[in-house]
Amino acid sequence: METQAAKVESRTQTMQPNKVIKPGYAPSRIEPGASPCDDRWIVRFTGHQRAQHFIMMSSVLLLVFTGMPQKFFEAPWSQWLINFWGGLDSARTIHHVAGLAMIFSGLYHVGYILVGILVRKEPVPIWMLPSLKDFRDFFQNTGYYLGISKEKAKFGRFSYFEKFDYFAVFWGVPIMGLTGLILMFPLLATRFLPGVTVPVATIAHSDEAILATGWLFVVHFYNAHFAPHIFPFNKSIFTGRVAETRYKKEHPLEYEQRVANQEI
Amino acid sequence: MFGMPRRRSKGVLVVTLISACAALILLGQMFSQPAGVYAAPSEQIKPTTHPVEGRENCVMCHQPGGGVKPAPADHAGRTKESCLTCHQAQGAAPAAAPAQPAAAPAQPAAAPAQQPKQEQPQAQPAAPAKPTVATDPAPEAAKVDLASATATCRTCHNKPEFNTVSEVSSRPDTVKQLESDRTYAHREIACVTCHLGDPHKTMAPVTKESIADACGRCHTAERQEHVQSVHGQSLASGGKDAATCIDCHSTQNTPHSIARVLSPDSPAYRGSIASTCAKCHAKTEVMQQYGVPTEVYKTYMTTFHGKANVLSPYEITQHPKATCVNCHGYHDIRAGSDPNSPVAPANLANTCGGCHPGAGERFASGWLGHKEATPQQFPVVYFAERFFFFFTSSVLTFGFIFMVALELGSWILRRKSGQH
Repeated sequence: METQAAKVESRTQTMQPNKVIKPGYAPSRIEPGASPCDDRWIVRFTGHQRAQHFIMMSSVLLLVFTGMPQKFFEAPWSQWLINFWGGLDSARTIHHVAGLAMIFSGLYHVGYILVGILVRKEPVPIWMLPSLKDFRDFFQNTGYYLGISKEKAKFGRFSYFEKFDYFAVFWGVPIMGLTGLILMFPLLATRFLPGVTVPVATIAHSDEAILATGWLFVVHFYNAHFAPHIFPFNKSIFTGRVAETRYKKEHPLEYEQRVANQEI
Repeated sequence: MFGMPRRRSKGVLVVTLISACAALILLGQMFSQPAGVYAAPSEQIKPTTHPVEGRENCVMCHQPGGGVKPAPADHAGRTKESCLTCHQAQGAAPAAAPAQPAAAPAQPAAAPAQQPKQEQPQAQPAAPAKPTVATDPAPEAAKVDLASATATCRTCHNKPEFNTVSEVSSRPDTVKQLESDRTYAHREIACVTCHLGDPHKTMAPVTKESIADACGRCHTAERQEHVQSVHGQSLASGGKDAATCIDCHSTQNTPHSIARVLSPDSPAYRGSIASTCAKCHAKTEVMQQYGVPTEVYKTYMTTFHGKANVLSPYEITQHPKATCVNCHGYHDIRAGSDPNSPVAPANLANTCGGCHPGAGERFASGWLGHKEATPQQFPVVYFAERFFFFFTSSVLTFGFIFMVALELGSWILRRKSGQH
């Protein structure tokens, strides 16, 4: 446990110019006790993964801001937002194109995994799958927040909340994509499916949109950007790199593993 | 070349003759009708077509050269005190009384008031007696100077205090607005176009049906459709609630404030139709009397059709967004149980196909018919709705509590207590 004085001291130390400075490095927040200038970058995401996230992110943001005014059409901001997009027809066209882009990013990701396993003979990414440890971690962290456990859980490559985000997308993209396609091509859909598919798709699309938006804008944003030790912004999904100090803190098990494997 | 001077001299002769005649006529008029000297009452002088009590100032409405049924030009300069010396007030002269107030053709001399030839009106005394004129008041309306007649009506009827003078509500507010409000489609139409016969004989009681009949005198096709529609039939069978023309076309529920359908102010404008229909169709107590479902507006508003009309009220788009009338029709709107209705089960797919080309039975069956999904009516839709509602709310609650609130809360508490 640090005293206030020690904290101030450690901060002043970090402000001193240090030896290795990577170009373009500007830490968003100076971690007490560790000089950012000592930091190295550890690559966390590949280019493909960053591209997948970028397409998903931009398309979902467009989908939210063109779709929500249609759901809450009587809200005072809806008309403004629709006018911002250039009218309702324009907003719908943007929504359709962004929806197709989101479906593409989902297919891109599945294809990327399959190519990795089948063509490039990379190991099957079982570290993405939920495990017993995730449940233990969840209960340990919840206990820690409630003051029952002594310390927080130590995570491997992906924490339980990161996996939750990931599988939320795995649930959300097929649901939103399929129901969206039904609503986009209702005549085609009812050629193969019963007519009641369309009202059901409307309900599913509308409700899952709330789930996705609520989750992304609150839970995902909190865990990725707004958590106190990250605030205000985490660039790692865009740059692919994480500072070593933070990596050590956020994914200690994976860090130790990679050090032991002499990857880093 | 040779003919020119001769022709010119002929022309000069003609012009001279005409001007001489005109001068003679004018002189004759001046001398034969000196101001204040009245012609003796002749047999053509009509009794007044309406009671005079309360309207003693005749020239206010009947001044020569303007107003309603203007007095002949030879009456110029006469004052209101003198009128009743010749004209007998209605009811006072039994011999002259048979003149029907509804026919009210009065003076055919009205229109040519500006023309100096005064011999003509006297030459055709039989005109008012024509039965065609008596049964069809429209030609009579055409004969009066409509613009000045309207102006004359408005001298009284656009005064706000007039409402208290008259026993019958004359809606001075809307008359006033007719002058100024450019959205009113009938602002250029004379009062007497609709207020036939003696305008002061009220057409009371003004009913929804009498209004429709009045509109239908010009808008015949629409009235014919309306008569056959569920609204028209309800009115004909004594219903008091069914829609008449002004319920959908008037901004203030008077026939004065009719707005064009393409004007965004009109209740019949595309963006406003749904709420206009909902004025009645969302009223449970009214609709239950007729067995009409009441949740039609609510369910319409949950569809993309309804949302689109709210979000693009002024947008001109390639695909007009369906409102009530696109499926149900408008003037000839029919009950859903009527087999001729466009929304009758047999016609529904075809009606959908009007906007969704190729729509089949199965596509049409996806339309829930303004019914709310219940376990009995649409179990699939109902349970899908329940499932997604509980799924969404429980997952979000879980995330908000266990992945955000707890961590943030404990971080704040630990920071306060000095732990970090």
